[in-house]
Amino acid sequence: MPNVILRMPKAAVSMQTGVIGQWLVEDGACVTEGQLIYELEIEKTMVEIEAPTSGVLKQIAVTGESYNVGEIIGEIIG
Amino acid sequence: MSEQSVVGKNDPKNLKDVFGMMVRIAEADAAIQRGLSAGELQFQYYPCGGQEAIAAALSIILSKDDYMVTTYRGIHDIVAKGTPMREIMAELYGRISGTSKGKGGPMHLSDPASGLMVTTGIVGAGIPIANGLALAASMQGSNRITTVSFGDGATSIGAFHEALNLASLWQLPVIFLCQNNQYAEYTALADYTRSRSLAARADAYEMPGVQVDGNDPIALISAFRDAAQRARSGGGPTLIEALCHRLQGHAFGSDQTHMDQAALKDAIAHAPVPTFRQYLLDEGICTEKDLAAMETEARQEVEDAVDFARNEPSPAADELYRDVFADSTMIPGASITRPKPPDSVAGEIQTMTFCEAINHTLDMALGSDKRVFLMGEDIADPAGGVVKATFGLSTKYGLDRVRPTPIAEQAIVGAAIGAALAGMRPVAEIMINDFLAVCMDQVANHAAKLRYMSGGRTNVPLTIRTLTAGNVGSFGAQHSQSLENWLTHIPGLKVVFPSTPADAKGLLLSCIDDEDPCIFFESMRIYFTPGPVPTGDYRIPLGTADIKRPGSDLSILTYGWMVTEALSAAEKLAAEGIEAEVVDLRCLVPLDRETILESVSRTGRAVVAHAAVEFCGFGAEIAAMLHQELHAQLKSPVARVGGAYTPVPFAQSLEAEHFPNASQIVSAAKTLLAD
Repeated sequence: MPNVILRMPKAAVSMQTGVIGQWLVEDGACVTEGQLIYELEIEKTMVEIEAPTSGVLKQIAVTGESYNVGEIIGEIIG
Repeated sequence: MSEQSVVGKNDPKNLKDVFGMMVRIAEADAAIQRGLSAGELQFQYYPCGGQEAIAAALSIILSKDDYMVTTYRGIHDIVAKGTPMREIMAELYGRISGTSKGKGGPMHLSDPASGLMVTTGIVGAGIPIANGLALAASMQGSNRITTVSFGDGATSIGAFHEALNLASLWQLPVIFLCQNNQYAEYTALADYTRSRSLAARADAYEMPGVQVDGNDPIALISAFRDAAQRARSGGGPTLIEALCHRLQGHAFGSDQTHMDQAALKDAIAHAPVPTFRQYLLDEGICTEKDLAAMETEARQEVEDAVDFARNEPSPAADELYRDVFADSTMIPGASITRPKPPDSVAGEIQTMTFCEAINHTLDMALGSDKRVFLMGEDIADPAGGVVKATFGLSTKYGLDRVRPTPIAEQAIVGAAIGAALAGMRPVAEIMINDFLAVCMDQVANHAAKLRYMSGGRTNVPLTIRTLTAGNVGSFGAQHSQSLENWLTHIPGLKVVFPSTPADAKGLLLSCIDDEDPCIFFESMRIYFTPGPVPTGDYRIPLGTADIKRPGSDLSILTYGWMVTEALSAAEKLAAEGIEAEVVDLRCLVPLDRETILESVSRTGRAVVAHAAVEFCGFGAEIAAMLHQELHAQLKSPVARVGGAYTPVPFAQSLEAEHFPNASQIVSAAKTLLAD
């Protein structure tokens, strides 16, 4: 599997920034495609984001911090 | 599998093909969501999870030539109709090699090569267009049928009802496929209707309505086969309600709190793809190896398509203005000298009213081009139209080509758009231009945009004739407006507004010939005024203004019935020794900038006059253009004369105050000359 960079997704029409509510997988742990990897807080609701590929998760974004849509928040090393 | 699963067991190849299509759909849907999760793709996406079986089963029944119209939650329909995967993904990545050169995107993807004619982002709007595709196929004597796919939410919108009524009336070869996933966006079915069966709505239109288990490919194939056979054999349309359950929120990233959690859990447990997979294994139709091979192949196809899309170039800046019209020089800002119409035209000159000239022109168009047909309210004999503009034509050409319609403007314009997409030359009548308001979605979001949204792969050679009944002293606020500016503000529409019977003929023939949608305005105020009309075949190119009266002291720029007032004003001014030039724009889009700028650069003064409300009227655009282009040559600021900022009043004393007239043009002209 190729490495996949994780960017802050655009998960709502009006979304400009998002906050990582909580990582659901530890830094450096293995994830499989489709597994829920973090909670995203947008517009007072929480959605769970799936891993787009399988590999080792490298967390970059800090829980509770706000990131712009498109900003790098992590990587999955395939 | 439901009790409807009684056919198809003997046809394992079909079932295998359905599963193969279901996994291609599921892989495409998953790949898009992976791209969105990773933040690589950023757009609103409406996943199809829970609806895979419906499109896959339909793909067994439809041929490549059959037409399909779908909606923004439509990736399953798009894949199943045969759109190449690489082109789909390239479109979603906004690439030049996408189905629509990156100009359509996920909600507006079309692929006419595979029969996918329209994907609309407007709920329910594809349904009237499907009627037109079907009508064209039937008029062309082809065996094609049309399927239009829409969600349960679309059954609440007027376009659905107008379209079903018309399809039944005309017995059109259409399958209306309602994919009932239980939610209209964020609202559950029970919260927006008391109807328990959406299929039952077909009863009201004397059309077969069928409910089918949308998770059961075998039942679906059977329902689609029946409906397709009915359509192909002249039996008319069918409404199929495929019952399914959306497996996720409305859009990617939406939370699911608006969904019934127990029902959602149950739907996920019985999701169509794994359920059908297990069925194929249990029935011995496929081995695990067969299924795994199909899954691997689908995954590879989609991954290849995503890789392809990532590496393709984005459209270059020079694509921006391409595909607005067939010819990019028709956009308003383009500076081009257009060919002038010939000075003399063939045929003897006859005196005709504007109304008679319209009738004569439509007669000529119907007689010379089999693709031309008319549709509109009351247009057939004995009525022959509310102002008799089409009198005699249905008797001469038959009701197949001069089609009276229900009072249903969305159905009329939608059907005209669909027929135009399929190669016909419809001339639709919207009786009074105020009624454009009730079909503006079809006009502005579809007719105007389909060429662009398809990257130039489809086009809408449609003419809409419409009448303004202003300043005739009897119609009041809802029949008397001049709404041309609504249309000039929508890129993709040509807007034509003639002032004489002879111009009306030459321009209407040009509109009918044109490859793009044209809105042709007629004025009741001058409808019964006679003028000379050459009886031969001649065209006035769109975008050519006409100097109706030469003059050297100022230019009066106008169009439509206001030309008559301008000519009258010019006579009054001449009596005082002022020579006014009257420039009849004739077309607002495309606009003849050259003639306007040449006239005003010569006279140095301009009055723009129109019947439409002056505030934000077309005159503002012309005035801005003149100030920008001729700043140094203008001897005084451009004056505007337009309708008062009021609804059109009924009382004649007030109506006369609302509309501009020759005296006001004279006053404006004198003010300019006094500067």
